Amino acid sequence: MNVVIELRRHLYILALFAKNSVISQMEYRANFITGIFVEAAFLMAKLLYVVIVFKTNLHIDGLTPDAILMFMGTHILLTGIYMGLFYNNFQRLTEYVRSGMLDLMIVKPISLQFLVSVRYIEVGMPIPNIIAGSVMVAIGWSASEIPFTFLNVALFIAFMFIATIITYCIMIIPALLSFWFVNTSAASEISYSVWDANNMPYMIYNKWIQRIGTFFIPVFIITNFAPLVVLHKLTRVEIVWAIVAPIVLFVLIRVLWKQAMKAYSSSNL
Amino acid sequence: MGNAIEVNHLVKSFEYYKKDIGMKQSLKNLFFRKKLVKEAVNDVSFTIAEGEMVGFLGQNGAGKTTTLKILSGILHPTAGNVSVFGYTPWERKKQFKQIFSIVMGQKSQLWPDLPAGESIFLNKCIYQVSDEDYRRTLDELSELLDVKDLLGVQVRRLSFGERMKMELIASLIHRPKLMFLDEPTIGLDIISQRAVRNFLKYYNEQYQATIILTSHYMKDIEDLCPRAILINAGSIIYDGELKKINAYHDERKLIKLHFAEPILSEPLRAFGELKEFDGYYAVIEVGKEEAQICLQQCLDRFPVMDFTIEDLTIEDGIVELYRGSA
Amino acid sequence: MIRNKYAVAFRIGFQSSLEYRFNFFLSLISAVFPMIVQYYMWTAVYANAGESSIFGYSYREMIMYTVLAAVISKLVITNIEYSIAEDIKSGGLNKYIIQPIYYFGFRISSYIGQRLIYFVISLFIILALTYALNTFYNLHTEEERMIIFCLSLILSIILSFMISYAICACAFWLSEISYFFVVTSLLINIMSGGIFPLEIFGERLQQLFRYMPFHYMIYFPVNVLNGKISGELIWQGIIGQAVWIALLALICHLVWKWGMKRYLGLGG
Repeated sequence: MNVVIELRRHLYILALFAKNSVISQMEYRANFITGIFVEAAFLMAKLLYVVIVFKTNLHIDGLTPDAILMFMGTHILLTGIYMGLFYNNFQRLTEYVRSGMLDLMIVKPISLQFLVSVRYIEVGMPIPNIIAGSVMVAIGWSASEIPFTFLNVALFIAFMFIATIITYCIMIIPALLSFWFVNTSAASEISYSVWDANNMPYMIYNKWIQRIGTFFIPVFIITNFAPLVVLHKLTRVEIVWAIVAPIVLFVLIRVLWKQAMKAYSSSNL
Repeated sequence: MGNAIEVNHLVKSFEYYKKDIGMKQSLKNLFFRKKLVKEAVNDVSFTIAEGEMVGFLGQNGAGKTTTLKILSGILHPTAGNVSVFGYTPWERKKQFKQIFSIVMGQKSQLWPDLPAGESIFLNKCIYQVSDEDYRRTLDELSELLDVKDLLGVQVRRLSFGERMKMELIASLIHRPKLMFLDEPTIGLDIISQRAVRNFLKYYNEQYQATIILTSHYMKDIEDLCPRAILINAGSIIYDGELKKINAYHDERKLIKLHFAEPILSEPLRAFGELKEFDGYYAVIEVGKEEAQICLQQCLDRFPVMDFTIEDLTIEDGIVELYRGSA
Repeated sequence: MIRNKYAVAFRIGFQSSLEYRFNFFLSLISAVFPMIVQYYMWTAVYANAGESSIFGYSYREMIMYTVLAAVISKLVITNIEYSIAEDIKSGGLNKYIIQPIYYFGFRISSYIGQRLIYFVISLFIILALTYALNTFYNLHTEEERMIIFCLSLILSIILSFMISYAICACAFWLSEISYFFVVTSLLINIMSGGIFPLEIFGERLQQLFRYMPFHYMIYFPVNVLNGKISGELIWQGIIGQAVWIALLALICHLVWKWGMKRYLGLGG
C-alpha cells in the first residue's frame, strides 16, 4: 500500500515538474524556437545516413532499406525521448555539483536521484526528432509488412520503455562522473558518440562489438530490439536479456549514485 | 527541554591539489599531483538546546558553513558524532529531512521563471503537507512577511529582499522545528534585513523552533542570538553569551576625546594604548579603574572640547579573540 | 613587448589544455567511435553493393577518407566561438581595447597554445594511420603528396580559424548565441565533408559547395592525401585555400570593425 502511495506522490510531483517546465520554457519563446532548429540540424546530419542507405540500396542481414529505416527511426525517436526527458537534467546535474546547488536538493525528503533526474522536461527540442522518428518507423513498419496488431504495437511500446530505462542508465554516467572530476565534457562527448553507434542497425558491426554492445554495455538494445521484436527476429535468450538488462543496469546505477553521493563535497560557489 | 543538537569531536577535512604556476609545473601536474589535506572543521564539540537561537560567527573559510552542512546531512564528516533530534544527519533519513530546513543566502531553491507560489506549492507536495496546513501556513507567513500580493509574480521580477522572503516561506511551509540559515541577509537592504530578522525572531518564539544562523552582519547575531559560537580556522574559540564575549574587555574602557586645537600624540601615549589619533580626535584604551583618573588628567592637560567613556564593542572583542587564537 | 603578450596568451592556452588531464585523454578516445561506426557502415555498403566504386570512391579510398576526415575534423573545428561570444556579451572585450594587444592576435595565440598538443598528436595519428592503411591495403602515398598535404592542412587550420572568427562577429548582433553556434559548427562540419564525402550530396549540391570555403577545410586536404585529387588540381586547391584565407581576413576585418562600432556605441 505504501508503495502505491509513494508511487502516486512521485507521479504527481513529476506532473508538477512537467507543468513548471512548460511554463518556464514558454517564457523564452526565442530559445524555444531556436532549440527546435538546433535539433532539426542534428536530425539532418542523421538523415545523411538514410540518404546513403537508400542511394546504395543497402541490405543488411536480410533487412531491406525500408526495414533499416525503421531501425533508424527508432533511434531518432529515442534521441527525442532522451532529449526531452534526460539531456537537460543530466547537464544540470553537472552544474548542480559544480555550483553546490545540489545542497538544497539533498535536504528534501524525496529521492534525490528522482528529483535531479526529472526536474526539467524539455518541450521544444525533442519535437523534430519525435515527429521524424515516428514517421520513419511508420514508413518502415508498413513497408516491411508487419501486421498492425495490438500485440505488435504493445510489444514495440514495451521495448521502447525498456530502451528509455537503459538510455537513462547509460547516459547519466558522464553526469555522475562530475562528482569526482571537475571537467567531464569529454566523457559526455564519448557517451554521445556511443549513442550514435545506433545510427545503423547493429548487425553491421562485427560479432565482438555486437556482443559487447548487447551484453556488456547494452546500448544496442536501445534502438535495435524494438524493431527486431516486431520483425520476429529476437531469440528467446535476447528477449529475456532485454527484460533483465534494464533491471540490472538500474541497480548498478543506483549503487554508483550512492557512491557518488558519498564523494560529494559541496562546493561553495 | 532536551538537546536539539549534540556535536562531539567533529572533524571534516578536504583533500585538494596543490598547483604551482609555470609551464614546467603544468606538465608535471599532468602526470603527478600532490595531494594536500585541509582541516575545515577540527575537533568541534557543542550542544544546542531545543528552542535556542545560536549564531555562528567566524571569518570566511573558518568552517561555519561546513559545520552547517554536516548538521543538515549535506556532507559526511571525517570523524566525530553528531545527533540532531536523535538522528545522524548524513544518514539522510526521510523523517529527519521533514523536521528541518536550510536557507542559504547565496543559493535559491525557487524556480526563477515561475511565480514563487508555484515553488512553494512544489515544496508542499514534496514535504507532504496537508492542504489545510498548507493554506494556513502560507497565509500566516506571507502576511507576516508582507508578500501576500507577490506570490503570483515571477521570481526573477522580484527584488532581492522579496526573493529572500519567498525563500523563507518555501523553506518553512512544512513547519520545521529546526532551521539552519547561512547568511540569510546577505545583499539585502537595511529594511529587508530588519524584516527578515523580526520574522526569524517571531518564528523562534512562536514555534519554539531551534535556529542556527551564520552571518557576516554582527547586527543579525546581536539582535537575534543570545548565544554565539565563534569559529576560527576550524576550531571553536568561544562558546557562550554574546554579551560576555568581551569578558576580558569588561576590564577595559575606551576614552574618546575631541580637542579644540591640534595636539601631539606623544603625551597621550603615556595614558594607555592609543587606538585612533588625528590631532583633533583620539581614542585611548585604558584599564577600567584607571579610566577616571586618566580622563581627569587629560582634561587638565589638553584643550578637551568633548569626551566620552565607552565599553569596547562586541566586534572589538571578536577581533581580539581572533588575534588571541591565531 | 607586444610579442611577449602573445606568448603569454599562448602559454595560458597551453596550460589550460593540460589542466584537466582526465578530460584530455578522454577527448582523444571520443574521436574513435564515429570512425568505427562509419567504417562498418561503409564495409557493409561495399559488401552489399558488389561494385568497386561508390560515389566515385573505391572501398579503400572511402575508408581512408572516413578515418582521416574524422581526425582532421577534430583538428580543425575550433570551438572558440563560445569564449569569444562570451567576451562580446559580458563586456570582456573592454580590457583588450584598453590594453595594447590586438584581440585577434590574442585569440589566435591562445587558440594555438590550447590546441598545440592536439595538433601534434593529430598529425602523428594521421601519419601513422596513413602508413598503416598503406601497408594494410598495399597502397603507396608519395612523400611529395605528404608534404603538400601538410601544407594544405596548415592552411585549412588557418582557414577554419578565420571562418570561426568571422562567425563570432554575429554575437555583436544576435542576443541568444550559443544555440546558433551549435548549428553553424554542425553545418560547417557537414559542408566541409567532415562526416561524409561531399559526393553523396549529388551533383547540384556539390556544385554549390564548391563556391563556398568550407570544403577546403576537410574535404580537400583529405583527398589530397587520399590521392583522389592530383596533378594540377592540387595546386588549384592550395591557391583556392590561400584566396579564401585572404578573402576571409578581409571579411573578418570588416565585420569586426563594424561590430566594434556597435559594441562601443552600446558600451558607452
